[in-house]
This record gives sequence, C-alpha cells and structure tokens, in this order.
Amino acid sequence: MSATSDHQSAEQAAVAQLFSARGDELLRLALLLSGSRPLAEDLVQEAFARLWQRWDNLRDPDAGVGYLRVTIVNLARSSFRRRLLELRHRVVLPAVAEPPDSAGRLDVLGALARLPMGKRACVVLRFYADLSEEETARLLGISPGTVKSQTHRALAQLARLLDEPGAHAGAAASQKQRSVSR
Amino acid sequence: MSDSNVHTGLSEEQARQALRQAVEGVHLSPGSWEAVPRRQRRQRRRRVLAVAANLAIVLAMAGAVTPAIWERLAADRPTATTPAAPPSTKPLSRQERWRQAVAPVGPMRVLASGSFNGKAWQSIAYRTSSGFCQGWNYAGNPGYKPGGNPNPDLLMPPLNGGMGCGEPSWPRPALSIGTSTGVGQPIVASGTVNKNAAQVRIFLHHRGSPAVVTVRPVGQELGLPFNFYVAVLAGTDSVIDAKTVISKAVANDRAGRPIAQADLKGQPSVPPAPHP
Repeated sequence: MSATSDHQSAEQAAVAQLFSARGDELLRLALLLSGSRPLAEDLVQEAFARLWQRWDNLRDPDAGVGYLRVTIVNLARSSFRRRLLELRHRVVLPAVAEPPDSAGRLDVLGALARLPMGKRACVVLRFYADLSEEETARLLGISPGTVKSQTHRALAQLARLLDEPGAHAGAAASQKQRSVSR
Repeated sequence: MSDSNVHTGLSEEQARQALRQAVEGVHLSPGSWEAVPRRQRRQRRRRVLAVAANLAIVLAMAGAVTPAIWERLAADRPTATTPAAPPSTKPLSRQERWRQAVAPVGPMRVLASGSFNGKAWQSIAYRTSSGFCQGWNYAGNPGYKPGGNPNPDLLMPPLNGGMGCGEPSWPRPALSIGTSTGVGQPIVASGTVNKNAAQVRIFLHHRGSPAVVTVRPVGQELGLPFNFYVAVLAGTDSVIDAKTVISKAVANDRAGRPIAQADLKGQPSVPPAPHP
C-alpha cells in the first residue's frame, strides 16, 4: 500500500473514531439548534465530512470537536435561513400525530424552534454544550455582553413559550422545566 | 395581570435540565457514518472543480491582457490607446462605429515627415481593431500633435489632415498609388506596396522632361501584410508644378527587378502647386 493511501486510511480511522465517540453528543446539539432530527443528522455528517477535508490543517486533533461545533452552528444557521425561504413557498401537508411519550420533548424543542437563531444558539451552547459566555461569544462571533443579554432574553422567552396553552402539559418532566411564575 | 403571565425566565439549572431531557436518548442512526466518506469525496470533487474553474478564468484573463501589455511595452513611443468597446447587443450609432473603426490599438508610426511653407507635416499609419489607418498630420491644421493625436474620446480624428482606413485582408494590388494635394500642403504620392519590394519609383513628366522620385517602403514594424511608401513630389524640393503629371509607379525587389507597376500615364495626377 502506498504512503498516500496509508495516510488516507489513518485519517479516515481518526475521523471515524471521533464520530463514534462524539457523534451522539453533536447530534443532540444539532437537534437542539435545528429542531429536526433528519436535519440534525445531516448537519453532523456534513460537519464530519468538512473536518475530514481539513484534517491535515488541524494542529491539535482535540481541536476537532471545537471545529465540529462551530461548523454545526454555522450550518444550522444557514439551514435556518434556507428553511425560512422554503416556508414562504411551502405546500401545507396534513399534520402527523406525534407519539404521546414525546410530548415533553416536543414542548422544549418546539419552544426552542420558535426562538430566533441567535438566541437559540446562545441558550444551547451555554446550557447544553456547557460553554462559558466567552467561549460562546467567540464561537458565535459576538461579544460576551451580547451573549449574556441574548441568553437572558431567551430564557424569559422560553419560559413564556412553555407556558402557552398550546404547549403540552402532559409530561411530568416537562412541568419541572417550565418557567417559574413568580 | 395574572401571576402566570409574569415570567422571570428559566433558571440556568432548569434550562440545562430541560435541554438535556429534550434530547435524552437521541442517537445517531445505524449506518450514519457511511454517509460521511461519501460526502467527503463529493466535497473534494467540488473543490477540485472549483479550483480548475478559477484557474481557467485566470488563464483566460491573462491570455486576453498579456498581448496588450507586450504591445505597449514594445512600443518605442508612448501612445494613448482607446480600449476596445465592450460587446453590446445594442446597435451602435454611426459616430460610435466611426470611433471604433479609427481608434488606434497600437503605436502610431511616422512614415514620412517634412515641412512645407514653414509648417511641419507627417504621414502616419497605425493599426486599428479591424485593420489599419493611414493619413496626414499637418501643423497648419487645428488639433495637430506630433506623432498623431489619439485623443481618448476621439472627438477629433487621430490625424488632422485626412486619413483612410481599411482591413488588411481586403484584396489589394501589389502597388497602389494616391496623391495628397491640398492647398498649402506638400504634394505627395503614396500608397501600399508588396512586402517584397525594396524600393518604389515614381515616374513624372515634368514640362516634357522625365523625372523620377525613388523611395523605400516603410511601416514594416506595423506587421501588416504590406508596406507603405510616401514620395514627396513637392515641398522639400520642388520637382513638380502645374504641368507635371505622374506617368507610373514601379516597385522593385532587392535585385532591382520590377515586381509591380501602377500605370497612370496621361492622368493628370496633381493640381497646380500651391506656391507661385
């Protein structure tokens, strides 16, 4: 086997290993950002394919997860813009009934999906990816102050959305997540 | 306002919990990895295509620009050239067509020059986008500029004393002859001649006695499929007056053999000389 193909298969093995180790976590991040399971999976695959393309330029293989996160956020942003365009021209299909056990989950995902992309990204990166305000700011290309204010507003908006009559009240777990009305 | 409408928002801990529970148990579907190498290959192909397309554009642009740069660098005198008009579907006006036809695209070459009645004159030729122009430049006329006047807007003709333009591919005799005979201007015979000609001889009948003016072809550096000649018949040394007629012009090769002839015998070629 030639040196080039050795190098390529080593690269592939490294990316595949990272995929199996961190794929699920990144899928969940993508799901929270995009609100759609198939789209989330698509974003993760695309992010890994792009990482593979740039694997040689990666100084530190540990930086791969950071790169993947940034790529997923950017891809989610652009798919959000694309979906806005599609919504203007969409054909309305009959709604598909969701299984009852997913009600609580749909509440949170539905409420997240109703947040503007910037606020959604702040909440997800801060409280799901557990990034600090500075890290979130760096990743989104905004100031830490903006992250702080966007997150604060997003949490208030989320509480309001989860309390709306349309939101599912069935799941006990989701009750705990609801906004606290004081 | 009811209590339920007053929101201070989720606490950070509540938000963490809610987000984790919302995506709890979500896993990549089996076989999800298979799509990654496929996508990677597609991206690589796309990148190669993009690089190739960009390279093709750069090469095409370089190919279009480089000859013009070399032409400018090779010119032994500074010239003002008018950029070629961009392609347009709109029909051009008569004036625009004229501008395009006479605009120089290379250096203007002085084929012959002298002075007449104290004023300079020049015979000049240059290349255009479709062929060439040749004409006269007189210090006595408005808009004179030594070496030609290719003003960028071409509000004036590049040559202020009359010019003729054509395409090199047009059928052309091995030797052509014409005269310039304006009042207050030198009288000259000029034309185009086969590239093999080493000299052109103009035969005149001057008050019954023959006279011959011999000139060398010029303008080789213009790279046209023919050369030019300019024979001064009156101006620098008067060999002509009202009674003078051009009988013929003969082009000879290096060995002195005649290779072309324009027979003008009996044709009054020039009007009376402008000076007494």
